[in-house]
Amino acid sequence: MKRLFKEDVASFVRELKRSYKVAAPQERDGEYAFDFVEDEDKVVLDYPSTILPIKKFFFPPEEIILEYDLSDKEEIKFKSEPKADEICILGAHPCDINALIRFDMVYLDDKFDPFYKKRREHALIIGVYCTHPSESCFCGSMGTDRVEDGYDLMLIDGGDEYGVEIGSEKGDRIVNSMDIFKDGKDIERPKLEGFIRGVETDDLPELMLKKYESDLWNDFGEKCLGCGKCVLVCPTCFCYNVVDDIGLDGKNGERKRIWDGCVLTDFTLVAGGFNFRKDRTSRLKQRILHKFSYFDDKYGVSGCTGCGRCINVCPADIDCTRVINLLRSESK
Amino acid sequence: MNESLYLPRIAVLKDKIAETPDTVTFTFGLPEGGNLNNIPGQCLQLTIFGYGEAPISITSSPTEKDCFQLCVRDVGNVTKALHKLEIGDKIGVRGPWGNGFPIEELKGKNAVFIAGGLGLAPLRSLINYIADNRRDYGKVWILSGARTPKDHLFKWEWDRWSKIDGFEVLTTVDRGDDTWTGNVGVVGSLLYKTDIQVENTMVFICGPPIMFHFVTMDLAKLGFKDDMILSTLERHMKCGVGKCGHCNVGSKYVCMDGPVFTYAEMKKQPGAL
Repeated sequence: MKRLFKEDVASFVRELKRSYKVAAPQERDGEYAFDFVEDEDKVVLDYPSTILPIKKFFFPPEEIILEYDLSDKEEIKFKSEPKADEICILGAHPCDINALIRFDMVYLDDKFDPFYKKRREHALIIGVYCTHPSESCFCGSMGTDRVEDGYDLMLIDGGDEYGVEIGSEKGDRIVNSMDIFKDGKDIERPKLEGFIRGVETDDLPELMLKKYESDLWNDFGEKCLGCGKCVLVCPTCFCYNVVDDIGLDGKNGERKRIWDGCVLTDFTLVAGGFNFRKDRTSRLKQRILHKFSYFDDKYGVSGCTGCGRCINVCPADIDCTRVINLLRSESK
Repeated sequence: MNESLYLPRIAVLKDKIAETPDTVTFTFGLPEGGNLNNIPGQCLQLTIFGYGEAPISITSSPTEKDCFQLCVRDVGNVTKALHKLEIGDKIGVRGPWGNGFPIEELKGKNAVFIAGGLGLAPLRSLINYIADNRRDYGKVWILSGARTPKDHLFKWEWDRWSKIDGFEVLTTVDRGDDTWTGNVGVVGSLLYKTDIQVENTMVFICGPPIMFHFVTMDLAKLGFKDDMILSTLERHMKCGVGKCGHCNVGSKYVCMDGPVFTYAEMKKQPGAL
């Protein structure tokens, strides 16, 4: 197995920056965030969790998906051209790489999203195995603390060095073209221990459907503020709204997509004023059921990767693992 | 080619037919000619430049060769802007999308159409498709209800439809007026005014949720099975390609898996009804 000494990480990043814009976890106000690297020494690969997942690099909070030019009445001109920089995401945890795999299932199907696709094609993913779960993490029970796919390289912490797992040809080329990688002994993937949270996943999609009418939902729905923080920090929340902006002269228009969330009031509002999910309970239920039941039914894996960010940020202390565990104990 | 699925194509407004005080049937042509090759029951995303995009069902049958039609009430930003368009104005179109009605499975079978108000718009695409492929399909009953006589859509089609061999048209209103000499009552009551065959018959319902609720009870009483009752779900889809999440119902996306579902399928998806 090839290895990368920890003291060489900054040089490695410098090397990567010659070909890529490199985004990696860095300290920000006492927490960690993925950001493009200016100072290589600030890259932190041993971190608990980042505030936001890596989806923002592939699915920005706001982007233009169509531009139109109305100045010539005879011929309206359109532009919907994806652009992408060569980027490297360095230091993603398995939970976030597993989330990217789920994003791919939705955005790279036969009606693929061209903007997302372009960015994915121009991205190098170098992950790192997480070594200690945070208080809100439950990837252990979701099976997303491991990753078999969706990365070019994976780093395994071995004390003073990282063992390097190769996940793609692109990754193989990098490892074999840089002197910074040395030969070394195999390093085992870490076994995560000490989880405070967890859910039992056996028959979970079916259980959730069976408990659709449970009164428990109201207990949580009444607490929910409908603020949407859970959606913003979720690595697998992929919904968006679309709005048109037109220039003051009426000649040029832009169509933007903006992150949206099913817990927000207007998400299912239709013209005429009817709202299919007008109460908070039905919206919260939609979000949790989509993660733990509907997504699984459609794509064959859970829509949640147990990163725990939603639990961490919820101002109403709504914890999806608690919702699930209570529903399960109700049905026993 | 990696052509973006967010790119609309242009269509030109050719004609407007006022249906009710707030609803108009718009006829569009494509600059390159032809129609949208839509399956009856499919939707499209309509762009009014400068206003935005909205999902609209296609009311014309693909047997209409040189145009397509949208029957739209002016109820939202985009549809209000559509109503202000003049002949020759351009719109953007993405689609058609969705599964559409099962025109193959319906072959050799009878069809009952039950429409409430604007619900006749999507059903008309299939009614006219059957009319234009008459030999492939069995008997057709068209049951249409509206609040008042002036709220009925496609009155100009009634006469033509009722003259087609094997077609029967029944209409009703919730409240009549001086001009109305027909039935008064809910649309479900029309089911008992004629001899509808249950065997080998598919039912297509479009209308407000409350109407759907009571009509399905009537249909169950008459012996119709849930998998022979079909309807369309309405959601405010923003993308039309299974991404934006707005039309998610259970594990289905209305834009991709629908808009047409059997009653049996709807019952399986939480929150569908």
